[in-house]
Amino acid sequence: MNIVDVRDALHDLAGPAQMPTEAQRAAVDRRVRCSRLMQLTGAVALVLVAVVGVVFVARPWSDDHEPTQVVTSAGTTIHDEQLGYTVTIPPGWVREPVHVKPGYELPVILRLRYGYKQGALGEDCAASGTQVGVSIGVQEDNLIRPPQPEFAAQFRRSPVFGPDSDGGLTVNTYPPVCGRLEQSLMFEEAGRRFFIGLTMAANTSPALQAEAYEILNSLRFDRGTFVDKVRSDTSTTTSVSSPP
Amino acid sequence: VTDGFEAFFEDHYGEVERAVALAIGDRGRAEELTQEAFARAYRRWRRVSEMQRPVAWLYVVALNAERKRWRHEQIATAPIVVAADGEDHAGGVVTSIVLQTAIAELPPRQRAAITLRYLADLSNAEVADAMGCAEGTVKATIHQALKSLRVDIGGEA
Repeated sequence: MNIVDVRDALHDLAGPAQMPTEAQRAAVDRRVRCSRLMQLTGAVALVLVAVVGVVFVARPWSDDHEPTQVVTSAGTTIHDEQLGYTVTIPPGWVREPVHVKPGYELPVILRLRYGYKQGALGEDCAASGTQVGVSIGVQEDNLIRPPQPEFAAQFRRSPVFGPDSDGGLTVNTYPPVCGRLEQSLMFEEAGRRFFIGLTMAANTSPALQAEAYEILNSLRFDRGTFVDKVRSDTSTTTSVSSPP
Repeated sequence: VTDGFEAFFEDHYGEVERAVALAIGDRGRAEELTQEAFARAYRRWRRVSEMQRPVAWLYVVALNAERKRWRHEQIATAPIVVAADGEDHAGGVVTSIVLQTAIAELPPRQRAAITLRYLADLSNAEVADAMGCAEGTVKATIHQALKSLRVDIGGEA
Protein backbone atom coordinates (compact mmCIF):
# COMPACT_ATOMS: atom_id res chain seq x y z
CA MET A 1 0.00 0.00 0.00
CA ASN A 2 1.12 3.49 -0.63
CA ILE A 3 0.03 7.05 -0.01
CA VAL A 4 -2.26 7.01 -3.04
CA ASP A 5 -4.17 4.12 -1.46
CA VAL A 6 -4.49 6.15 1.71
CA ARG A 7 -5.80 9.14 -0.22
CA ASP A 8 -8.31 6.97 -2.02
CA ALA A 9 -9.43 5.33 1.20
CA LEU A 10 -9.84 8.70 2.85
CA HIS A 11 -11.90 9.98 -0.08
CA ASP A 12 -14.06 6.88 0.04
CA LEU A 13 -14.47 7.14 3.78
CA ALA A 14 -15.34 10.83 3.66
CA GLY A 15 -17.67 10.45 0.72
CA PRO A 16 -18.04 12.95 -2.11
CA ALA A 17 -17.81 16.62 -1.35
CA GLN A 18 -21.36 17.91 -1.72
CA MET A 19 -22.35 21.34 -2.85
CA PRO A 20 -23.76 23.30 0.07
CA THR A 21 -27.51 23.01 0.40
CA GLU A 22 -29.87 25.94 0.92
CA ALA A 23 -30.32 24.80 4.51
CA GLN A 24 -26.56 24.91 5.09
CA ARG A 25 -26.31 28.30 3.41
CA ALA A 26 -29.14 29.57 5.63
CA ALA A 27 -27.42 28.13 8.69
CA VAL A 28 -24.23 30.08 7.90
CA ASP A 29 -26.28 33.25 7.31
CA ARG A 30 -28.00 32.71 10.63
CA ARG A 31 -24.67 32.33 12.40
CA VAL A 32 -23.38 35.53 10.80
CA ARG A 33 -26.47 37.46 11.90
CA CYS A 34 -26.38 35.92 15.36
CA SER A 35 -22.73 36.80 15.70
CA ARG A 36 -23.37 40.40 14.63
CA LEU A 37 -26.16 40.64 17.17
CA MET A 38 -23.85 39.23 19.83
CA GLN A 39 -21.16 41.71 18.84
CA LEU A 40 -23.66 44.56 19.06
CA THR A 41 -24.96 43.32 22.39
CA GLY A 42 -21.41 42.91 23.62
CA ALA A 43 -20.53 46.43 22.51
CA VAL A 44 -23.59 47.87 24.24
CA ALA A 45 -22.79 45.89 27.38
CA LEU A 46 -19.20 47.11 27.24
CA VAL A 47 -20.32 50.71 26.95
CA LEU A 48 -22.73 50.24 29.84
CA VAL A 49 -20.01 48.70 31.98
CA ALA A 50 -17.67 51.55 31.07
CA VAL A 51 -20.30 54.16 31.91
CA VAL A 52 -21.12 52.49 35.20
CA GLY A 53 -17.41 52.24 35.95
CA VAL A 54 -16.82 55.91 35.20
CA VAL A 55 -19.83 56.93 37.26
CA PHE A 56 -18.64 54.72 40.11
CA VAL A 57 -15.12 56.09 40.05
CA ALA A 58 -16.15 59.70 39.53
CA ARG A 59 -19.01 59.79 41.99
CA PRO A 60 -18.58 61.59 45.27
CA TRP A 61 -17.86 58.74 47.59
CA SER A 62 -19.88 60.05 50.44
CA ASP A 63 -22.88 61.42 48.60
CA ASP A 64 -24.87 58.31 47.98
CA HIS A 65 -24.97 56.94 51.47
CA GLU A 66 -27.36 57.96 54.14
CA PRO A 67 -25.91 58.04 57.62
CA THR A 68 -28.16 56.75 60.37
CA GLN A 69 -29.95 59.47 62.28
CA VAL A 70 -31.56 59.39 65.73
CA VAL A 71 -33.72 62.38 66.62
CA THR A 72 -34.09 63.32 70.30
CA SER A 73 -35.05 66.47 72.15
CA ALA A 74 -31.36 67.42 72.23
CA GLY A 75 -31.13 67.21 68.48
CA THR A 76 -30.32 64.69 65.79
CA THR A 77 -27.55 62.20 66.34
CA ILE A 78 -25.91 61.20 63.08
CA HIS A 79 -23.65 58.22 62.67
CA ASP A 80 -21.78 58.12 59.38
CA GLU A 81 -20.38 54.62 59.10
CA GLN A 82 -18.39 55.33 55.98
CA LEU A 83 -16.73 58.57 57.01
CA GLY A 84 -16.44 57.31 60.57
CA TYR A 85 -17.97 59.91 62.84
CA THR A 86 -20.89 60.41 65.18
CA VAL A 87 -22.24 63.87 65.95
CA THR A 88 -25.33 65.37 67.51
CA ILE A 89 -26.66 68.55 65.96
CA PRO A 90 -29.32 70.72 67.55
CA PRO A 91 -32.40 71.85 65.60
CA GLY A 92 -31.73 74.55 63.03
CA TRP A 93 -28.29 73.30 62.10
CA VAL A 94 -27.68 72.03 58.61
CA ARG A 95 -25.29 69.28 57.57
CA GLU A 96 -23.99 70.08 54.12
CA PRO A 97 -23.05 67.44 51.56
CA VAL A 98 -19.35 66.71 51.31
CA HIS A 99 -17.32 65.13 48.53
CA VAL A 100 -14.66 62.68 49.56
CA LYS A 101 -12.72 60.65 47.02
CA PRO A 102 -9.72 58.35 47.22
CA GLY A 103 -6.53 60.31 47.08
CA TYR A 104 -7.86 63.38 48.87
CA GLU A 105 -5.17 64.55 51.22
CA LEU A 106 -7.24 66.94 53.26
CA PRO A 107 -10.85 65.96 52.70
CA VAL A 108 -13.61 67.85 54.47
CA ILE A 109 -15.61 65.02 55.95
CA LEU A 110 -18.21 67.08 57.81
CA ARG A 111 -19.53 70.60 57.39
CA LEU A 112 -22.24 72.03 59.63
CA ARG A 113 -23.72 75.48 59.62
CA TYR A 114 -26.32 77.53 61.33
CA GLY A 115 -27.27 80.36 58.97
CA TYR A 116 -23.68 80.92 57.97
CA LYS A 117 -22.96 80.99 54.24
CA GLN A 118 -19.56 79.88 53.06
CA GLY A 119 -17.95 82.26 50.63
CA ALA A 120 -20.51 84.98 51.30
CA LEU A 121 -17.99 87.51 52.45
CA GLY A 122 -18.30 91.04 51.24
CA GLU A 123 -15.60 93.10 49.61
CA ASP A 124 -15.04 95.07 52.78
CA CYS A 125 -15.72 94.97 56.49
CA ALA A 126 -19.09 96.64 56.15
CA ALA A 127 -20.30 94.12 53.61
CA SER A 128 -18.96 91.18 55.59
CA GLY A 129 -20.77 92.40 58.63
CA THR A 130 -24.01 91.15 57.14
CA GLN A 131 -22.84 87.56 57.61
CA VAL A 132 -24.65 85.76 60.43
CA GLY A 133 -24.47 82.40 62.13
CA VAL A 134 -21.84 79.72 62.68
CA SER A 135 -19.96 77.26 60.49
CA ILE A 136 -18.05 74.14 61.54
CA GLY A 137 -15.77 72.32 59.13
CA VAL A 138 -14.07 69.04 59.99
CA GLN A 139 -11.12 68.25 57.79
CA GLU A 140 -9.09 65.05 57.95
CA ASP A 141 -5.35 65.20 57.49
CA ASN A 142 -4.18 62.30 55.38
CA LEU A 143 -0.76 63.78 54.76
CA ILE A 144 0.97 62.10 57.65
CA ARG A 145 0.07 58.57 58.57
CA PRO A 146 -0.09 56.87 60.82
CA PRO A 147 -0.13 59.59 63.51
CA GLN A 148 3.38 59.90 64.81
CA PRO A 149 3.79 58.86 68.47
CA GLU A 150 6.29 61.65 69.17
CA PHE A 151 3.62 64.21 68.34
CA ALA A 152 0.89 62.49 70.32
CA ALA A 153 0.87 65.14 73.04
CA GLN A 154 0.57 67.92 70.51
CA PHE A 155 -2.47 66.30 68.94
CA ARG A 156 -4.20 65.09 72.08
CA ARG A 157 -7.87 65.93 72.03
CA SER A 158 -9.08 68.44 74.63
CA PRO A 159 -11.37 66.78 77.18
CA VAL A 160 -13.91 69.55 76.59
CA PHE A 161 -13.96 71.98 73.70
CA GLY A 162 -14.67 75.60 74.55
CA PRO A 163 -13.61 79.14 73.58
CA ASP A 164 -10.23 78.55 75.29
CA SER A 165 -9.36 75.23 73.66
CA ASP A 166 -6.16 75.05 71.62
CA GLY A 167 -5.46 78.50 70.23
CA GLY A 168 -8.77 79.83 71.56
CA LEU A 169 -11.53 81.71 69.81
CA THR A 170 -10.03 84.81 68.26
CA VAL A 171 -11.27 87.77 66.28
CA ASN A 172 -10.03 88.04 62.73
CA THR A 173 -9.52 91.76 62.19
CA TYR A 174 -8.26 91.60 58.64
CA PRO A 175 -10.44 92.75 55.73
CA PRO A 176 -12.72 91.57 54.41
CA VAL A 177 -13.60 89.25 57.33
CA CYS A 178 -13.31 91.95 59.95
CA GLY A 179 -14.75 90.89 63.25
CA ARG A 180 -15.25 87.26 62.34
CA LEU A 181 -14.59 84.85 65.22
CA GLU A 182 -12.35 81.92 64.38
CA GLN A 183 -10.94 78.93 66.19
CA SER A 184 -8.84 76.03 64.98
CA LEU A 185 -8.70 72.69 66.73
CA MET A 186 -6.28 69.89 65.93
CA PHE A 187 -6.30 66.43 67.43
CA GLU A 188 -5.99 62.74 66.72
CA GLU A 189 -8.60 60.11 67.38
CA ALA A 190 -9.04 56.50 66.24
CA GLY A 191 -5.71 56.67 64.43
CA ARG A 192 -6.85 59.66 62.37
CA ARG A 193 -5.86 63.31 62.51
CA PHE A 194 -8.34 66.15 62.23
CA PHE A 195 -8.42 69.90 61.77
CA ILE A 196 -11.61 71.59 62.84
CA GLY A 197 -12.35 75.12 61.72
CA LEU A 198 -14.95 76.97 63.75
CA THR A 199 -16.17 80.22 62.21
CA MET A 200 -18.70 82.57 63.75
CA ALA A 201 -20.13 85.85 62.54
CA ALA A 202 -19.18 88.81 64.74
CA ASN A 203 -22.66 89.15 66.18
CA THR A 204 -23.18 85.47 67.10
CA SER A 205 -25.23 85.09 70.27
CA PRO A 206 -23.71 83.31 73.30
CA ALA A 207 -26.46 80.68 73.04
CA LEU A 208 -25.53 79.85 69.47
CA GLN A 209 -21.84 79.81 70.39
CA ALA A 210 -22.64 77.33 73.17
CA GLU A 211 -24.48 75.10 70.69
CA ALA A 212 -21.42 75.08 68.48
CA TYR A 213 -19.26 73.76 71.32
CA GLU A 214 -21.92 71.21 72.25
CA ILE A 215 -21.68 69.92 68.73
CA LEU A 216 -17.90 69.73 68.87
CA ASN A 217 -18.04 67.91 72.19
CA SER A 218 -20.53 65.39 70.82
CA LEU A 219 -18.25 64.64 67.91
CA ARG A 220 -16.64 61.18 68.06
CA PHE A 221 -14.58 59.41 65.45
CA ASP A 222 -14.00 55.78 64.55
CA ARG A 223 -12.14 54.15 61.66
CA GLY A 224 -14.95 54.46 59.15
CA THR A 225 -15.11 52.30 56.08
CA PHE A 226 -13.78 54.98 53.72
CA VAL A 227 -10.64 55.94 55.56
CA ASP A 228 -8.31 53.40 53.99
CA LYS A 229 -9.81 53.96 50.54
CA VAL A 230 -9.39 57.70 50.82
CA ARG A 231 -5.83 57.20 51.91
CA SER A 232 -5.00 54.56 49.33
CA ASP A 233 -3.62 56.91 46.69
CA THR A 234 -1.81 59.31 48.95
CA SER A 235 -0.05 56.49 50.78
CA THR A 236 2.13 55.92 47.78
CA THR A 237 3.08 59.53 47.25
CA THR A 238 3.60 60.79 50.80
CA SER A 239 6.79 60.03 52.60
CA VAL A 240 7.50 60.63 56.26
CA SER A 241 11.03 61.37 57.43
CA SER A 242 12.03 59.78 60.70
CA PRO A 243 14.03 61.96 63.09
CA PRO A 244 17.64 60.88 63.48
CA VAL B 1 -16.36 43.73 1.34
CA THR B 2 -17.55 40.14 0.80
CA ASP B 3 -16.76 39.88 -2.90
CA GLY B 4 -15.73 36.35 -3.72
CA PHE B 5 -17.08 34.81 -0.56
CA GLU B 6 -20.01 33.18 -2.31
CA ALA B 7 -17.73 31.35 -4.74
CA PHE B 8 -15.39 30.41 -1.92
CA PHE B 9 -18.33 29.01 0.03
CA GLU B 10 -19.59 27.02 -2.98
CA ASP B 11 -16.16 25.64 -3.77
CA HIS B 12 -15.03 24.63 -0.33
CA TYR B 13 -17.98 24.02 1.99
CA GLY B 14 -18.45 20.39 1.01
CA GLU B 15 -14.80 19.41 1.13
CA VAL B 16 -14.20 21.13 4.47
CA GLU B 17 -17.24 19.58 6.04
CA ARG B 18 -16.38 16.02 5.00
CA ALA B 19 -12.74 16.38 6.04
CA VAL B 20 -13.71 17.83 9.41
CA ALA B 21 -16.26 15.04 9.82
CA LEU B 22 -13.66 12.40 9.16
CA ALA B 23 -11.07 14.15 11.31
CA ILE B 24 -13.30 14.36 14.36
CA GLY B 25 -15.47 11.31 13.65
CA ASP B 26 -18.78 13.15 14.12
CA ARG B 27 -20.67 14.36 11.05
CA GLY B 28 -23.31 16.35 12.93
CA ARG B 29 -20.76 18.27 14.91
CA ALA B 30 -18.62 18.69 11.80
CA GLU B 31 -21.52 20.46 10.11
CA GLU B 32 -21.83 22.90 13.01
CA LEU B 33 -18.10 23.54 13.16
CA THR B 34 -17.87 24.06 9.42
CA GLN B 35 -20.82 26.46 9.35
CA GLU B 36 -19.35 28.46 12.20
CA ALA B 37 -15.97 28.55 10.45
CA PHE B 38 -17.56 29.89 7.27
CA ALA B 39 -19.59 32.41 9.25
CA ARG B 40 -16.37 33.68 10.80
CA ALA B 41 -14.70 33.75 7.42
CA TYR B 42 -17.59 35.85 6.11
CA ARG B 43 -17.24 38.34 8.97
CA ARG B 44 -13.51 38.65 8.37
CA TRP B 45 -13.61 38.10 4.64
CA ARG B 46 -11.51 41.07 3.69
CA ARG B 47 -8.66 39.73 5.80
CA VAL B 48 -9.30 36.03 5.16
CA SER B 49 -9.53 36.49 1.41
CA GLU B 50 -6.07 38.00 1.38
CA MET B 51 -4.55 34.93 3.00
CA GLN B 52 -2.46 32.65 0.89
CA ARG B 53 -4.67 29.67 1.68
CA PRO B 54 -8.00 30.81 3.16
CA VAL B 55 -9.22 27.22 3.28
CA ALA B 56 -6.39 26.27 5.64
CA TRP B 57 -7.57 29.04 7.96
CA LEU B 58 -11.04 27.47 7.88
CA TYR B 59 -9.65 24.21 9.22
CA VAL B 60 -7.84 26.04 12.00
CA VAL B 61 -11.08 27.76 13.03
CA ALA B 62 -13.29 24.70 12.60
CA LEU B 63 -11.01 22.45 14.63
CA ASN B 64 -10.33 24.96 17.35
CA ALA B 65 -12.35 23.07 19.95
CA GLU B 66 -10.79 19.75 19.06
CA ARG B 67 -7.22 20.86 19.55
CA LYS B 68 -7.30 20.57 23.31
CA ARG B 69 -8.58 17.02 23.05
CA TRP B 70 -5.88 16.05 20.60
CA ARG B 71 -3.21 17.71 22.64
CA HIS B 72 -4.06 15.56 25.63
CA GLU B 73 -4.34 12.35 23.73
CA GLN B 74 -1.54 10.01 24.59
CA ILE B 75 0.31 8.93 21.53
CA ALA B 76 1.69 6.00 23.47
CA THR B 77 -1.76 4.49 23.92
CA ALA B 78 -2.41 4.37 20.19
CA PRO B 79 -3.40 0.83 19.29
CA ILE B 80 -1.54 -0.87 16.53
CA VAL B 81 -3.87 -1.35 13.62
CA VAL B 82 -3.28 -4.39 11.44
CA ALA B 83 -4.17 -3.40 7.92
CA ALA B 84 -4.22 -5.42 4.75
CA ASP B 85 -0.90 -6.45 3.38
CA GLY B 86 0.28 -8.27 0.33
CA GLU B 87 -1.57 -8.93 -2.85
CA ASP B 88 -5.06 -7.68 -3.51
CA HIS B 89 -6.78 -10.02 -5.93
CA ALA B 90 -9.94 -7.97 -6.19
CA GLY B 91 -8.51 -4.99 -8.02
CA GLY B 92 -7.88 -2.81 -4.96
CA VAL B 93 -11.38 -3.14 -3.51
CA VAL B 94 -10.28 -5.27 -0.59
CA THR B 95 -7.34 -3.02 0.06
CA SER B 96 -9.57 0.02 0.08
CA ILE B 97 -12.18 -1.48 2.39
CA VAL B 98 -9.62 -2.82 4.82
CA LEU B 99 -7.75 0.45 4.72
CA GLN B 100 -10.90 2.42 5.36
CA THR B 101 -11.63 0.24 8.38
CA ALA B 102 -8.09 0.64 9.60
CA ILE B 103 -8.22 4.41 9.17
CA ALA B 104 -11.55 4.57 11.00
CA GLU B 105 -9.98 2.66 13.87
CA LEU B 106 -6.93 4.90 14.16
CA PRO B 107 -6.64 6.98 17.33
CA PRO B 108 -8.45 10.30 16.76
CA ARG B 109 -5.25 12.32 16.66
CA GLN B 110 -3.66 10.14 14.00
CA ARG B 111 -6.85 9.96 11.97
CA ALA B 112 -7.21 13.74 12.10
CA ALA B 113 -3.62 14.23 11.04
CA ILE B 114 -3.76 12.02 7.98
CA THR B 115 -7.21 13.33 7.07
CA LEU B 116 -6.02 16.92 7.08
CA ARG B 117 -2.81 15.98 5.31
CA TYR B 118 -4.10 13.63 2.59
CA LEU B 119 -7.79 14.43 2.25
CA ALA B 120 -7.79 18.18 2.90
CA ASP B 121 -4.37 18.49 1.27
CA LEU B 122 -2.98 20.75 3.94
CA SER B 123 0.76 21.03 4.32
CA ASN B 124 2.39 19.71 7.47
CA ALA B 125 2.67 23.28 8.73
CA GLU B 126 -1.02 23.91 8.08
CA VAL B 127 -1.97 20.67 9.79
CA ALA B 128 0.15 21.78 12.74
CA ASP B 129 -1.78 25.07 12.88
CA ALA B 130 -5.11 23.29 12.64
CA MET B 131 -4.20 20.77 15.33
CA GLY B 132 -2.42 23.24 17.57
CA CYS B 133 0.89 21.44 17.72
CA ALA B 134 4.39 21.64 16.30
CA GLU B 135 5.11 20.65 12.73
CA GLY B 136 7.46 17.98 14.00
CA THR B 137 4.65 16.48 16.04
CA VAL B 138 2.48 16.36 12.94
CA LYS B 139 5.17 14.54 11.02
CA ALA B 140 5.64 12.05 13.86
CA THR B 141 1.88 11.52 14.19
CA ILE B 142 1.41 10.95 10.47
CA HIS B 143 4.43 8.66 10.37
CA GLN B 144 2.99 6.62 13.21
CA ALA B 145 -0.41 6.48 11.51
CA LEU B 146 1.03 5.35 8.21
CA LYS B 147 3.18 2.80 9.97
CA SER B 148 0.10 1.45 11.72
CA LEU B 149 -1.63 1.23 8.35
CA ARG B 150 1.42 -0.58 6.95
CA VAL B 151 1.73 1.98 4.25
CA ASP B 152 4.91 2.18 2.25
CA ILE B 153 6.00 5.49 3.65
CA GLY B 154 8.86 6.15 1.27
CA GLY B 155 9.62 9.85 1.35
CA GLU B 156 6.26 10.83 2.84
CA ALA B 157 5.44 12.40 6.19
